[in-house]
Amino acid sequence: MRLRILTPGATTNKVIATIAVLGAAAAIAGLGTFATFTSSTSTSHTIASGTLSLTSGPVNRLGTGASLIAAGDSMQRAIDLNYAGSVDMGSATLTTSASTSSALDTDTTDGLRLAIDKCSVAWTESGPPYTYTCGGSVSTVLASQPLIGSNVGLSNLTLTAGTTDHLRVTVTLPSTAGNAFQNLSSTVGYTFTGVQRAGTSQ
Amino acid sequence: MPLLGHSGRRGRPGQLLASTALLVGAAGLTALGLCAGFANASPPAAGGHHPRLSVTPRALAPVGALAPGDRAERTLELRYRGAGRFTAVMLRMRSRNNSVLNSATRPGLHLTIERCSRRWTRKGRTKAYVCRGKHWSVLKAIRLSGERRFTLRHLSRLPGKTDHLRFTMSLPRTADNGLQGRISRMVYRFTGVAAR
Repeated sequence: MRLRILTPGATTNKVIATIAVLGAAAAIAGLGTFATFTSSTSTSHTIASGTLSLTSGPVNRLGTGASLIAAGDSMQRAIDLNYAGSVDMGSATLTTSASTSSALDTDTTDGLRLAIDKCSVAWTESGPPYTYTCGGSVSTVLASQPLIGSNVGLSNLTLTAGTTDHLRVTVTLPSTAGNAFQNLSSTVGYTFTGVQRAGTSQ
Repeated sequence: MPLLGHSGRRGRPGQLLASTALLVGAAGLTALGLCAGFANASPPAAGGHHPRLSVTPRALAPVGALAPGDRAERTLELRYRGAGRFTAVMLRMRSRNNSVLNSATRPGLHLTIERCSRRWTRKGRTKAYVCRGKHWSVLKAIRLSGERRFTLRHLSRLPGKTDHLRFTMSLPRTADNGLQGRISRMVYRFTGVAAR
């Protein structure tokens, strides 16, 4: 008999409990779904980095050697430096090194000396042996100094992206070079390095 | 009587349970009802009852030939329309393309956001902007890498107001040659969270 009376009560409790659980779930789901309103808007932006490029040519006679030079002789070679990137250079340097070395490049007093000039237009070449004349204005890029140097600063270059500097490299064996410089050989490499301009606001 | 007494003793937990169920059920219905009210309201994009965000321009002027040490400044206007105010404004940024400029491991692009109480003005004939009013930092310099989200600070967030922002993109001086000739296509998404 007790069981009969208690059974409906237990069922009621279960129903109530179920409603409670459902209600709680609905409350949580409702609050979770509609917690906030948002509004969005967007904008886009394309950013491109520039390029820095230092190339030589079409004129480049630096690879042309000279033989049987004597004290007081000089060799002229032309080279075009192109600033081919989209970013201007701020400065340029030259590093020269000898892969085959002799007193011609190691003697800084009587050994080979280097000077570089720039012509506002392309150099007019004659020879060989090569010599050059400038139909425009000439400016000094590097005053005479010992042939071998590291990161030597160059002056009066344009350095502007999309332009070309026409250079003439002159290597001279001083007239003071003695007999000790006879029958020697050096192979020299030239490396021009450009450094970008200072940072700006674009 | 034993039965009644027995029933009476068990009646209190039952009533308690019923009351709890009713309360929870009512709370659930209330929540749903409230939410239904929100749901029935005009959506933020169409109605004027809720705050909305808009930004101009939709595309910032592109930056070309950025070099290490360079910075590019762009201004934009963030407008708050409709009624009510936002409790927060978030910025989500992502790159549309996989660019090394947005690399997390290399010194790539950085972004800074500032706000001016007045419209930003050009600094002479340069491409830089200056603030001739009160000035705030909205977002300190962060790296433009991957998909990221930030809460913006010092915005007005008031209906009818416009925040004048300056975006400054920069490429660190330490950026190497590997970053030359690259393109980054960024999308900046502003999201305002409305006050309830």
